[in-house]
Amino acid sequence: MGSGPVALREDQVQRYSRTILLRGVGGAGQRALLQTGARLLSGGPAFLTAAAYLGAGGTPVEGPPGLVGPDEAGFLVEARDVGQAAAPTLQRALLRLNEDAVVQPRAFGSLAALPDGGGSPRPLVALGRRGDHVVLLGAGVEACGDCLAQLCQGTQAPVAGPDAVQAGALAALLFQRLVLGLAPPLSGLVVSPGGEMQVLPLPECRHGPRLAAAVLAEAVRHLEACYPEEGCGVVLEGAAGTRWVALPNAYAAWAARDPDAFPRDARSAFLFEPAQWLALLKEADARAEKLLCVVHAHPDGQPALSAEDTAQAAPGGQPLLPGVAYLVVAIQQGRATAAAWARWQAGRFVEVPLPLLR
Amino acid sequence: MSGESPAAVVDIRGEVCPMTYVRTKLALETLRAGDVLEVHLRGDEPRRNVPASAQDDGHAVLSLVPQGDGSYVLRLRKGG
Repeated sequence: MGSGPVALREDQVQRYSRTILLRGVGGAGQRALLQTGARLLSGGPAFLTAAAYLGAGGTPVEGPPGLVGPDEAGFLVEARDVGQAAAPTLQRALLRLNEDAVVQPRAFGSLAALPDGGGSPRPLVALGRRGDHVVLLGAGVEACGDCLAQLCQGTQAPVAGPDAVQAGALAALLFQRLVLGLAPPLSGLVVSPGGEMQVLPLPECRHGPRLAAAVLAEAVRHLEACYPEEGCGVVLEGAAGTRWVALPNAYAAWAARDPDAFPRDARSAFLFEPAQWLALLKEADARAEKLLCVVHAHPDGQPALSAEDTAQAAPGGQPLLPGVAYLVVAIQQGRATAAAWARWQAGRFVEVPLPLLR
Repeated sequence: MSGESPAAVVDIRGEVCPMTYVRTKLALETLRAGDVLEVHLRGDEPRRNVPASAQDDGHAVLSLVPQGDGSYVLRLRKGG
């Protein structure tokens, strides 16, 4: 991540005053909208409409690929732009609309046409249709890619039509809500030709992790070696795949320093040393890796998050590390017997058993 | 008690709606839960709307004291 929050300029306070007033947005939310760009992975009237709404709200917009099509004239671009490269043409149009819409953001999400392969940057809003109904899917960083792919089944790319403006406006709103954390990690919406909206039923996520067998085996070996104490560590994910990083369990040291605050022992609790934890996160950031999961053992315990684990991972009912899963491995007499993969979904941790391949 | 020293002071006497509450809201965002914000305001509209909006957002109104010149000092405690 970058440095701390940047204050809004006075002209931004004036321009976005109505948004700042909204509950759940405020100055912090408006800064998030300014700092999270939207990359258009497709063109067409709906996407350009979304670009107009997002750009007006201060969100930087890039793309789309290809040339301006004849059906796009009137949606930010003009008839004389048809046949021109779409991305620079849109940048010029956005600059006229709002200069904040063309600055380099800290990160990019994306707007894509359905069916999306699931690899597009998150937050992702995918737009398409089923028959004559418009379909919008929204996926935050926490959303399961397999569930998203499941939702994409049976969808087609969007086509230009009178409902493009409505679809584009909804896509922009959904993108903003994902950025602000106001939308669930995965959501879907179907809009009929008459404008009636229905929420798509979502699958209960039962998918396992993107965890290489060798990485899981390495983690398990470490946890077994730590028995009877709780071994712990993390799995990081980067372009080259996943890697296991063992971390010492610092609980005993903290309990020795402050037994009232840390009343248990390292056989029943784990704690990352804050300085090591921070150093690891900085290293991961420098390597463009992200935290895939936090791993710990339950010596002679159950392969499931305990009430204490849940309270630590989601204090106040909100996940401390959004998008990060938890792997809990039961160790009986020094040998791993079972594991569970827990992912935050719809306000709670959903756990699935994870086979321990040897 | 409203005698507690404020963590911050914001003067919105020269502002009109909606900037009166926008300034107040942005000032509240910089504080920690439990901190006191002192707001200097003028006029009937902010006198009615700023305290009401702050309460709607989960903050507590500690006091609203007229200053005798048409202005008021509003003290808010930031909610959690």
